[in-house]
Amino acid sequence: MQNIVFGLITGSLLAVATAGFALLRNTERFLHIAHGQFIALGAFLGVVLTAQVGLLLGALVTIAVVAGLGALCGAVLFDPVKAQGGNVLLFTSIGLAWVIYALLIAGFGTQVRIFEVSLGRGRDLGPISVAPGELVILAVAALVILGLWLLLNRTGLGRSIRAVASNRELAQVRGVPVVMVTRVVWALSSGLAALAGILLGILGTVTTELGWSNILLVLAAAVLGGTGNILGVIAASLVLGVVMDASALVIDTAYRPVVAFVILIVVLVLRPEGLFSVARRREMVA
Amino acid sequence: MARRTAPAPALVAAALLLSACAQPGDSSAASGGGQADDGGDIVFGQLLGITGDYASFSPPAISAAEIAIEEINEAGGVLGREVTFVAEDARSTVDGAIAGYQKTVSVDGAQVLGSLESDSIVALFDTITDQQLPTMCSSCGTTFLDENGGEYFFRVTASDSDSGLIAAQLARDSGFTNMAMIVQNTEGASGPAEVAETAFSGIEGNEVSQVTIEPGASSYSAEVDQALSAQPDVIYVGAGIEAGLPVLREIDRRGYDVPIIVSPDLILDETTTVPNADQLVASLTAFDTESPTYESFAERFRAETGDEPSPGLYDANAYDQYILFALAMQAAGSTDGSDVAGQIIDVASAPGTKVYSYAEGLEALENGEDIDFEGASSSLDMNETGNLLSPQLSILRVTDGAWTPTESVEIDASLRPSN
Amino acid sequence: MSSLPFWATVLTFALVIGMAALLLNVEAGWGGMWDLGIAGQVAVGAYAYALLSGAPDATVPGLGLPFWAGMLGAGAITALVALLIGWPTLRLRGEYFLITTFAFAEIIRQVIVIQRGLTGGTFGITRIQRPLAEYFVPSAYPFVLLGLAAVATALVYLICHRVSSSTYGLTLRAARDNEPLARSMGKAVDRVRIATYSFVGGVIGLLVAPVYVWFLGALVPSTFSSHLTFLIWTGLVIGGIGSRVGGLIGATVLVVVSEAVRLIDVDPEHASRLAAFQPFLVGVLLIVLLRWRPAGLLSERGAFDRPAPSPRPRASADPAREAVSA
Repeated sequence: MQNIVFGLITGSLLAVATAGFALLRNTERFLHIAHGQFIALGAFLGVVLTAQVGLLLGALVTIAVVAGLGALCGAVLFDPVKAQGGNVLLFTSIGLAWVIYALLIAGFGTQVRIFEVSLGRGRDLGPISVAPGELVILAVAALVILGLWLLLNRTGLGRSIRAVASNRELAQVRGVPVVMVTRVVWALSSGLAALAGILLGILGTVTTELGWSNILLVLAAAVLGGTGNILGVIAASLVLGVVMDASALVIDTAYRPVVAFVILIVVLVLRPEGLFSVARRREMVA
Repeated sequence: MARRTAPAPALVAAALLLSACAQPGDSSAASGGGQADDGGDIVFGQLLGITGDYASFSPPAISAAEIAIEEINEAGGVLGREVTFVAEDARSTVDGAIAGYQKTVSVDGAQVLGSLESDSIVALFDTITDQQLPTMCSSCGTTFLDENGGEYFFRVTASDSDSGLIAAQLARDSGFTNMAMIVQNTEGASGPAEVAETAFSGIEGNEVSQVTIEPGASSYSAEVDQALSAQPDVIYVGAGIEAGLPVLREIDRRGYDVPIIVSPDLILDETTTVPNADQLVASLTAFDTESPTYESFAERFRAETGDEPSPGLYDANAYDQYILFALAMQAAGSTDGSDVAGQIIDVASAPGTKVYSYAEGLEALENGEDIDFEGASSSLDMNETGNLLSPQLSILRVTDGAWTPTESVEIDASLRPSN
Repeated sequence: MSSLPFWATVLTFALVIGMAALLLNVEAGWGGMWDLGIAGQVAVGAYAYALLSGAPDATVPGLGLPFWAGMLGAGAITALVALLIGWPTLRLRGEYFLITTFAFAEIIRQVIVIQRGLTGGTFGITRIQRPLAEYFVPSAYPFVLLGLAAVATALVYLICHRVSSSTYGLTLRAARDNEPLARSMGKAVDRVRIATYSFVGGVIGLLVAPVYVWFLGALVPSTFSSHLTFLIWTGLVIGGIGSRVGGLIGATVLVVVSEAVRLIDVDPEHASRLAAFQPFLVGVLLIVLLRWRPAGLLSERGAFDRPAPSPRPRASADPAREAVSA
């Protein structure tokens, strides 16, 4: 039971991180490897600003700045090569990942950084023990995800985004402001990455390798979640988180990193379009 | 592009040509060991992970080395010549170490090599031995050097075997019988942990449980929970700061109030900020803060970096390496690799006139005396495998927000595995 | 000071990456199989070779076989592992294949870490014997190793060249370009694909991995992380996917430029900034190249008869999906 709570926390952080990734994947049609570095950027900027102006203001400013940077990258680096297709975008993203990684090292240095934020002592809530700070993290993640879902499904902007995601050319013909949607999606995705970075940084530590160590899991959750509704990705993240933490009960914890990938492989082999994909994309299976 | 069968013949030809360049008779190879000496500045090299996993250890190591080089040059250099310092990036990887080594040795012309990490050492061991390059490491605990050092490899920090033993000894002497170990799955952490586990569980009536963690995970709640479920009366955390800090905080969140023995990598300022810092205990060849060498080094280190020297960052150890190299070279009277290597244990260990700085050592050597350099990190006395001789270890606890040495201990030899 | 040994070492590493890129090109460029798990194959080959040829009395005991037997054995083992991985995975397409191969590589690395008794875990396999080392002065060995790497590279190139001009290679590319058509013409697409995947694995184990092992001198699992995969891919992309020699050229350019950064003289306290320059340069190179010369420095056009990719999106579908899938 306790492990399920742990898993929900891990999973909800993963969900925040992956939601942004999935947004870009669905609308821009490529795997944004640099997303991991945006997470790291959010963590570094967040820890530095928090030390200056406190957590709330620091986090908000960080998210805004990184969102803006993301939109800028999208416009300057990715739009011009969009016509070349997903592979070129993928490798441009890998290139950007390396550039951001280098700038993080050069700008912030290599020493480990810590958020001066305490999550408090664990309190017993029935059979489980949770610290107040952990509940706050869970709540923030849940609210953000809820907000995202509402945005995508209950607003005009969300409708536009979904239209572009399902068929860009058709949306354009129908008068959807495709360029604006692209900017918004980039900003949203990067902002979510920054938030995920801050939350991850609070729960752990901030190091220059943060981006690379998280991108694999994000990739796994995104693919597992399929390309339909954003809920698929959220659900997949939660499932991965819970399974990884619950697995500590049955198998040696040394295998924990492997668990997620074994699940991924098993699921994809049995259900190649992902766990929750509503529509089968043409290229899933031969 | 025209159809060509292959650039391969061209490649092979080029390689053969290069091989021809490397025949004996290449004037850049010295007749003795080590690097060619062109009579100009002497080059002291440092090869460490400036980027990659060990990146956070490198800035203090580089600063400390620079302080040593400055001190050496102020006293007139070695053999009357100025010393130049180069630091190369091993990228915290084996391939980075290989390329970095070549740069340091063949391009920079380093005549000694310091601050090597465990990965680099095992990768370069044969090459360094063949090329007869005196090499030291200031932060590597690898048990590989327990038996293999002493000819060209020397170590100014305790071996993992010792750090592991002392953890078991601490737990035993405090009367604990049930230890839960949370160990990071990297060589630097699992090395000492293994030794500790073997020693502790070898005692009648003791129980040990172990949980493995992977650095880079987003949380360790499940693993900590697993460890605590064994109801231990003492916890051992073997990890670097990246994973160690969240683990300590998680233990605090669960409200588990027993002593926590931490590995040397966690003897850092950041660890003193955890809420349960009063439960932490660690052991290391603590810096002898009374020693004149340490005081003079610490003063300069503070001025240079704004920080106190920290045992967990091995900065004073890095400094000691280069003073030792300089004194050994001076004592050998030459920069020849095998000559210099042959002097290192002598200048570091008793018997001899105790000296506490390069200048003092230089003067004593010029007077024809045998010296024993007492370092900033420890007395530096070595055994014949180039390891610290029965390091005098100190128990450190966190008081008033800083790691403070309390009592000293010697390793209980009966805990060593009988092999 | 002579910098020749340094450059010889750098070039050796470049050739290792180059060989891997050439083989990746067979899978990905010609076969349309975008393999993000190539580091895993190199890992299997490297450990297999080290364990087969390692001394029985070493810390991590090996079988003590001579070099050539170790190479052949490593080739066979890697081919088998590739077969086992490819069989369920090759049903998947595009990004699903990508992530699954990525996952497999990660699992392989973790298994190496966990199975300490067999592989030495994070302590690794140390003091690996290098061929011909006893006949040469230590300072000359980098050149000998470069020679060995060059011979291996030549062999890999020739193998890839034969594949490309064989009917086998033609089937591969036909399936990549228009799979339904290829199938309707009776080509055993699935069998060709899995054979290719396994074959590439075999050559990696036979030639690429042993040379890498000789270069490294010691094996630790962290060497075979996703960084290695990305390095090989970047080399291929820079050189030109599809081109027969592009991977080799691209990898050489990449590694040489990266290591050349070390030659910039800088104060030791700025060493971390300088070290950061390397990934920065690689990233910028990649971005710029993809923007202005997305086919890479060399491209498949000219080497084979294939129309240039149209820059405008085709009416039928997103060309990206076309390229990634197939």
